[in-house]
Amino acid sequence: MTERDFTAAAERYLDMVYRLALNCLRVPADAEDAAQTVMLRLWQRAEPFSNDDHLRHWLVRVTLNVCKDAARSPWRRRMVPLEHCREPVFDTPEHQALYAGVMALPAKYRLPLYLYYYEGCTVAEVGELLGLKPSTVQTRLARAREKLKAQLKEE
Amino acid sequence: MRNIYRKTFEQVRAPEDLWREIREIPAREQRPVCRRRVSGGVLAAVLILALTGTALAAVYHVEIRNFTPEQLAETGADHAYKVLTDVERTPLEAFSQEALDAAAGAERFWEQKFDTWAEAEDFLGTRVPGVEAPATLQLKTRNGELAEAELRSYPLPLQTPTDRLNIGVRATLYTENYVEEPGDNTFLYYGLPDPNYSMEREDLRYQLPDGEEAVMVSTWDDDSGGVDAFLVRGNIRYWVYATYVLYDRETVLEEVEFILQNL
Repeated sequence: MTERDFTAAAERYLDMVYRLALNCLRVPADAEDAAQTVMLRLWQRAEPFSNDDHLRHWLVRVTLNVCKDAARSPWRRRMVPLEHCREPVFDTPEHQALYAGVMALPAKYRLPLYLYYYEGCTVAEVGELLGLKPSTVQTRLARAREKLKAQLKEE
Repeated sequence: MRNIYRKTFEQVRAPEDLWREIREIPAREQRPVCRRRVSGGVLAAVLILALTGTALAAVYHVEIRNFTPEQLAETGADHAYKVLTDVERTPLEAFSQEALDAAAGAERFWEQKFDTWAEAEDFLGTRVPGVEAPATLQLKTRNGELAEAELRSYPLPLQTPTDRLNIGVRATLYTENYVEEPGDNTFLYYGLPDPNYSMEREDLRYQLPDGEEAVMVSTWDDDSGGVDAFLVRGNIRYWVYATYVLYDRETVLEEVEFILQNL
């Protein structure tokens, strides 16, 4: 991959990789680490991508794998200066509440939501990426919506 | 739902720090390794430093301070403690000109992989005893000057994601440009699955043969765990860490002790 191609790919997809990692790992600093690992793998990859869809699909897959490795243990630890424990900032309280609600969901609900609602994947594509049957994806999406609505009502 | 979800996550963007690091990847990964032998004069100075470090070893200490519930609530972590050390700062003159130049040329940090720890140490130009394994040297800068130098290595030949044990060694040096308290860091533990989940923790003090003392924090649950060991030797703060899954805790502690003994 040339430096130009890499920079173009980063400009196009770094936010996606970071958001996906954040949905997997919940902790911004962990998501940054995962995104950096993914982009390093992209830079080191020798084989070209056949098109933009191929690149995007590869990035989603690698991000999910990197996050899966990072989350192998039921707990994760980080050594950080305290001021680095930062959370995203939102324009409105509604967006802040939705983000907090999403992050309070278990990862098994957060990921289908993100891929379906934000990345525009179909149920079948979400299932293929997460190794789930389409019916399972549909169930998780429905439960995620229910849980999210319940959480937002509570607030 | 889709609409508000999209509008919310549109505001979640990769932070500028991450962007900077990503932009540096091509240059960092292409840069050739510069190797430099340590001159006799530097070696003599290094020997004095090493001897001084040994003589004073017993006075350096590490303190583990647990977070109060109020502090925990501020961080959002499930468990946290702070490591405080009295590591000394390293004068800029102790580093090689190449290391100082590399730091000066970097926007925020400079990183290079070396075939061995000794080669990374040579490049850095100051004595930092370590392990026999490939190493990465990272230099962090502040206002264009070296603030922190860290040598990192993974001495076990088990590095694939499927492995059950990972051990890392980090040796960190701080210069006068480092603005925070040198050697002090916070450990945050996230993602404990539910309030009833129990993570065991034991803090151990480990006496090294020459009188130095390392502090080890061992945390574990049913099938996984971690060990974080801290040792201060003059101007070097060592952090030896291990994470394991389905592995014997005692064996991991012995591995960490072995590394500490051989630093």
